[in-house]
Amino acid sequence: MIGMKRYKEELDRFTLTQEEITKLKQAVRQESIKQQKFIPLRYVSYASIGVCMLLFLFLQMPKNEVDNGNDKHIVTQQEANIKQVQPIAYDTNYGGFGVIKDFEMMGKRTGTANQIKQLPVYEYQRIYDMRKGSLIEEDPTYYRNWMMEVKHRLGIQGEIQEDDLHGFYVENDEMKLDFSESGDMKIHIKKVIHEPKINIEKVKTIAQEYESIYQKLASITQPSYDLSVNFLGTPIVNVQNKEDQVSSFHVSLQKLINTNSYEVIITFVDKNNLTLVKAFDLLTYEEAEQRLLHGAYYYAFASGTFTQQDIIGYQLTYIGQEETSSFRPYYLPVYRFYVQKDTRLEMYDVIAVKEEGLQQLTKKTNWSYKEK
Amino acid sequence: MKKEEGMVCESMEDFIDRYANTIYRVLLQHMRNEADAQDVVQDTLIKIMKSHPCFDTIQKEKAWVLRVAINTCKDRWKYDKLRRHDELFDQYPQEEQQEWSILPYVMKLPQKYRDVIYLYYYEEYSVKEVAEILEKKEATILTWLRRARAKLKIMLEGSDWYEAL
Repeated sequence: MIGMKRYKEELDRFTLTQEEITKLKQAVRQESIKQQKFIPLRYVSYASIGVCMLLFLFLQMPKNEVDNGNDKHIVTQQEANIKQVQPIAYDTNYGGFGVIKDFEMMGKRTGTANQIKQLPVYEYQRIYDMRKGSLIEEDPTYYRNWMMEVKHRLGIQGEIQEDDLHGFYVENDEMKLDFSESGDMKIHIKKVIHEPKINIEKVKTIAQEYESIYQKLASITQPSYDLSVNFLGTPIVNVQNKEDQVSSFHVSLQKLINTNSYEVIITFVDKNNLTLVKAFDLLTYEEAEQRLLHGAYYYAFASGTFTQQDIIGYQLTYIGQEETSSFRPYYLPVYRFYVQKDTRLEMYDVIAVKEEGLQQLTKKTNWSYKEK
Repeated sequence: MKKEEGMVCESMEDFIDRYANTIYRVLLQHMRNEADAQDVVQDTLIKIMKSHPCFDTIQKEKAWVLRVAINTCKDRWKYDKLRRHDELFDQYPQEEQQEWSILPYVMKLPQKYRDVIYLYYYEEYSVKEVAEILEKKEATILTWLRRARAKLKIMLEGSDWYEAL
């Protein structure tokens, strides 16, 4: 296969140094000595580990405890307003570099999120795990039936075909439907967009051309178009009814290789996969920004070196399991802060739900940060 | 180590010299992060030291080593919420990120596909051997290989900006 020679060459660059190998030998030797000479102590060790684990579990219960691994205090979201903490790297499926290449930088953004006092948190019914692969493989009947319904609503005549990559697909002269691994439907528009340069406003204009699709599939009669950027710097337009709080569609452009042409991709969110937990009170923008400046944020690919002056905008948005598994099984709102570093746009997310709300989301207990 | 006649049975130090980098690379493609891979190399070697059997060929020994390494990774995934920020990409010098490069794309594949790609293309095991190491059916390995190739093909044929995915 083309490129696999290169794969070997690239992986070959990663080698342990002689010093690292020597350390490994020492570690194994020490472990071996422990095995041979202190066998009775093993049982003491096991008992000690057991006691430590019980102690650790006990200490997990209160808010301020000591992490035995690095002796750094765990702080709550609220405490992160005043204490400098360690940011948390997103568990993400994306492996990109987060640089906008062919897109004009987004303009300075002014958020209006403070008008929103509460937003719902949802729980996923089907959890996407990038290490296990596609959700479509887990429940093909559900996805086939969903595609059948969409095909009918859009008047696509072709038969649904099976496909190793996307589970199923169906197409006609105008569009092709398939699935993402995380179970959302992708609508690929075959009419190609020819543009030398694309900016996010242009993506919005393009998204507005497909109102009939939003109406047919999600009964959206008064669409609102919310502009955003994903971890990779890809402009995304979120489409929803004005009164809806969660987007039904995400519109993006994929550049066709060696051209100035783009394919329009409309992602149809599988809202049946979301069960409402309840609406929670939100932090204000100012509270969220304070936490950001104290390091209480999630990031995917970012330098982590910025000042308040580098923040060019923010928005209140939801982070889906296609972007990260860090919040699963919950689908929850975050403040996404946009930071400009030279020609690079970086994104930093602060969970928007207040501390009291987070405490009710009991299936996820790792909301807290470690003090620096 | 239990020594039997005619069997490959070397000292642990020789063993580490022979396999440290092999274990490191399989863990690297599995964990996608150098720091975590280095941690698990040590765990794997200690596990091997505790139960290292002797094999009649180097090939069998290596296959066993790879299986232990992959299983140690799986155990680690289960019990440790690792920082899976893809630091591997950060290891590239900046100018090399501009080159045409396949490793970041392979690293974006689901873990089971990365294992298959690594064993098949890097270690050059046959489908049958990969199936034995991963304790799966050959048909499953063939399917995973086909899907992994298809995913890679789509990623590599994508746009400039999607090439960075």
